[in-house]
Amino acid sequence: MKKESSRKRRFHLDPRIKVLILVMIATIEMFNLNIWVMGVIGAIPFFLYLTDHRISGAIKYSIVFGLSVLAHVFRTDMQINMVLNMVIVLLGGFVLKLFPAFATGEYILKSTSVSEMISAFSAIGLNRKMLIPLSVMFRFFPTIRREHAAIHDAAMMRGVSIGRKRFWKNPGQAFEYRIVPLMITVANIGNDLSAAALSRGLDNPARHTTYTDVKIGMTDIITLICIVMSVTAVFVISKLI
Amino acid sequence: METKRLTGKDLITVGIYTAIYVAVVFVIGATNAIPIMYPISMVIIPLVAGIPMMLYYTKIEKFGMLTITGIIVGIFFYLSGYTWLCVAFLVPTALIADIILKVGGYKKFKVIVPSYMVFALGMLGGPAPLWFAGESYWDGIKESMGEQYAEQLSSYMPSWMLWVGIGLVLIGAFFGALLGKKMLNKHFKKAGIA
Amino acid sequence: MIEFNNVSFKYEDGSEILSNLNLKIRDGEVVLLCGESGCGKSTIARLINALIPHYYKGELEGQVLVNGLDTREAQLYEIAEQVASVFQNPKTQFYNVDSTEEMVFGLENRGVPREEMKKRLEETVKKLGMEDLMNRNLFAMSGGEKQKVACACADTSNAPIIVLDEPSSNLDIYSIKELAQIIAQWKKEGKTVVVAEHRLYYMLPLADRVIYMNSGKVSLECTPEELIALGKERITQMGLRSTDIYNISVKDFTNALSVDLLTEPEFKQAGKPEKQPEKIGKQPEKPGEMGEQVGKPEEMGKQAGKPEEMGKQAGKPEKQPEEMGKQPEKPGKMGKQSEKPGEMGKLSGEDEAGSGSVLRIKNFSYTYKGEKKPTLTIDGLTLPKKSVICIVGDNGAGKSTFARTLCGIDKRADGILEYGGERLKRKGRLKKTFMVMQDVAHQLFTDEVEDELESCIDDPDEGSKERIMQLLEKLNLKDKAERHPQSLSGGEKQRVAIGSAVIAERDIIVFDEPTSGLDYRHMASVAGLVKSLKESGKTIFIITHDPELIAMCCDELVRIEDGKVVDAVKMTPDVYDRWLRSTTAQKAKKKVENEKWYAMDGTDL
Repeated sequence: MKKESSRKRRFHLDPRIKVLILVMIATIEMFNLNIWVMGVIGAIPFFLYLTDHRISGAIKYSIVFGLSVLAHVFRTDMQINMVLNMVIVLLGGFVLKLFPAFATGEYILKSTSVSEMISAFSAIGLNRKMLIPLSVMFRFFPTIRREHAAIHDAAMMRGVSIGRKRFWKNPGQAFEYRIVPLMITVANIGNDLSAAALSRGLDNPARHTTYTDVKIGMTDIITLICIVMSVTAVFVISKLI
Repeated sequence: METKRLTGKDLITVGIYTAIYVAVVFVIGATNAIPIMYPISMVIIPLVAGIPMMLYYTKIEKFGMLTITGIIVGIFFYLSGYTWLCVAFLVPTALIADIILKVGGYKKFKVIVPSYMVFALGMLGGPAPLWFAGESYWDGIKESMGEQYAEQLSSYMPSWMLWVGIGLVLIGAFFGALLGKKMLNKHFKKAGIA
Repeated sequence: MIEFNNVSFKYEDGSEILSNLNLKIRDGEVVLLCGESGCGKSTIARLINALIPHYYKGELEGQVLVNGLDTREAQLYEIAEQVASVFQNPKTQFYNVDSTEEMVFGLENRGVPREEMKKRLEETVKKLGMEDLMNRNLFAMSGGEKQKVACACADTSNAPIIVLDEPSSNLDIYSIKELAQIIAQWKKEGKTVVVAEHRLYYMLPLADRVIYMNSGKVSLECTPEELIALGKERITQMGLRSTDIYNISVKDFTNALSVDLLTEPEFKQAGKPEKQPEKIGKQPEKPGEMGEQVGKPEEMGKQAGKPEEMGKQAGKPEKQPEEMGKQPEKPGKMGKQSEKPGEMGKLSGEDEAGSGSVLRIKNFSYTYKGEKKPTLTIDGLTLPKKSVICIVGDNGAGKSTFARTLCGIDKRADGILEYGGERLKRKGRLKKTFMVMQDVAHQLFTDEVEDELESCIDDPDEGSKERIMQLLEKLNLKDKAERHPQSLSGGEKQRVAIGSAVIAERDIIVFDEPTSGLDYRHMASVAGLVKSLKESGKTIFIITHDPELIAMCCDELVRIEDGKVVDAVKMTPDVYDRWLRSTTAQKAKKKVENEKWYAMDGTDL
């Protein structure tokens, strides 16, 4: 859930709408499209980044995407080495095809809180068998990160980090030193967590409710209409030209 | 008291090991920014993931846990912008892995190895667009750059790469299972978590 | 009503046995379960919340009835409506990432409608003063805050019985006080509260009954007053922690006891300042300067001049914050004198003369990623070598950052340490220091204790094996040489980690909260180990909140606040008292961490 200040943000999309946008982008991109449609699809994540106040992300994204549009447009005019040309065209092609979906995905993961997403999943009728592992997974990402950082520190003190003499003596062992304590601490945290969650009625067969409310509001509908209209418009116009 | 249904504890276990699996795939997959790492990561990911997965397998006694893992990994990758191919690969492979376990019996290493090898194939959904999106991109290239150009390009990107990919994953998963088994005996059992 | 009828229990691995226990806890009673680790008190807590037999497996005989429900027959979720639990480790007991979501988690599981949830949440928030803990990321909270959220979870559940299993283990003194206030609130509401705990001092004023366990049996049942009447020595023999942290005399435990925890300590202290010198037994080296530091008795008297007001505080938790706010101004005096930490250090360090006997810290700073200003800045600090230096300060004051910088763990640790004529930059410090982490499991890598130590030696030779065995003998680990380090008990793991520091010939050893969750005997053995390390020529730093540990082995007290050293003086009873006072009073300034928005991928953590 967002903290209070970010909650007051004016622009806020329902997670279901965000996923719907992603589905739309990923689906449209499976077809062989002309550059105009690709361009307008590519513009969607740019605006999404802006609504999330991620200016630098938006700029970086637009540079990468813009360059591959250029590479696409001038692909036959390039007077350079054949192989290099191919690499550029190919890479550019992948960026055009895949980046809008990647960027939207990144936007979703960064702009949605776990509880919002869980509530949304619950609202679309996702089974508890999916909801519990999903929320546990999202809770464990930061745990894994933290435990790993602590183990990394410990390894530094022991002199088994990359770049130290002892590391290169036996890199396989150095790897073992990282993953084994991590597995052990994470598994132990998991045991405690299960006990705590069960003692709070996780296994209650009653229909679980959610505290976080998700609603599809005007912003969601307007955003969706805007996206559909602009993509259709560009598609139609590009066919007419 | 023991039920065949998945309990809250089972579902939490699924969540934890799914998180670890995703973390492994993500961290190692991050090296994929360099295209040359693609084939290497196809061996490394199932190899490394073998350690947590073998630990996970010691906790699986019921049908459905692996399938849920597959679905969640699929959803997560879908949400992070990979294509529907992720879901299309991960869910069936996880389901088959689950069935192998159910038929062959739980907690038997001889059954776990093929089950894990099938499960690991699901990760091919990640680089799959390389071939599939590549195919549809092909036509575009032929159209604009000429037949000859496209042919030359295809010699750099042969379609048998997919089979090589499958082979690499299977090899990685096999040795990953052995590695995981070794760690299980060396550490996890003694530490009381397996 | 909780009833134990002839209950015996054995864990699957055969450990910790409860034998033929009979016990009745009436509605509305506050019961303190105490005893040494392994005495069975946690097992009782788990039997009440029915995690035994539903989660922890073992052999259970007899019957446990909780409000008429047989825990063996009832489902865990049915018990959950009767019993709410708060566990020992704040880090592992929460299920959600968000604090508000966590507080309603139990209600969601029961299918309580949203409106009702909101209502109950509001009540709890108001009652326990949780306003500043709402909608926050649990991962960014301090241990004390997390534990408060755990209490709020127990509160929203409306369960008539609340079980707390060593809830104060990871808390600082201020947070323990807040915990005590929450328990007092529950007591007022007529809830049944069962607390399994090592730390007695905060529970004694609240408990109706004390149950002392010894190897699975109730060996003493009495009122708190009767327990205190047993006397300090007897209580220590029983393996229990101090009943009154405000009256521990430094490095000496012969003082009389009293139990009014919730009255402010300075009231008591200031009331009889003339008594202190007797307690000390060890005079400050430079009486003139020390006297100035300690502050004038008259002023202290004034401070404590309104006992009624103090008394009131204890009863009304909600009122605390404003009144508390006043207090930091007084310790502010300390702040002033310590503006030049370098000089302060000299006070105690330079007596022994010669730079060979001191270590000097110069220009330490640490800037976290994405921040412009350093979190820690220490321009100069001189401390005696071969001594035990305790680092104290509030959560978030920069103690851990100091430890990281001292050990040179990462590139952000800037500055120089002069140690015995050597000028150590970051990488040099990395080889000279060793940190025994709070969670020792992070630093045990191999599959055998012996290998663990061997892997610390850069170039093993023939003599190294013998050295390892000798060390293991000293650490009382010889019979465990072949065990997997991760399978050892907490104390043994800690000793293995200490062993790796010794065998790697590190001169400076840093302990991060070494005694959280330890009973008296284990705490004392840590103190003993620390002393013997000191005698063997090591310099020891201890980051701690534990007043008893400080009283037992501290030579030098360094107080850190807002990333700066505000106090670095030789340990004396006065210094100890001053620290205790400031640490119990401080809250007003506790800043809410600048939390970033946290999303599903957890990248901003």
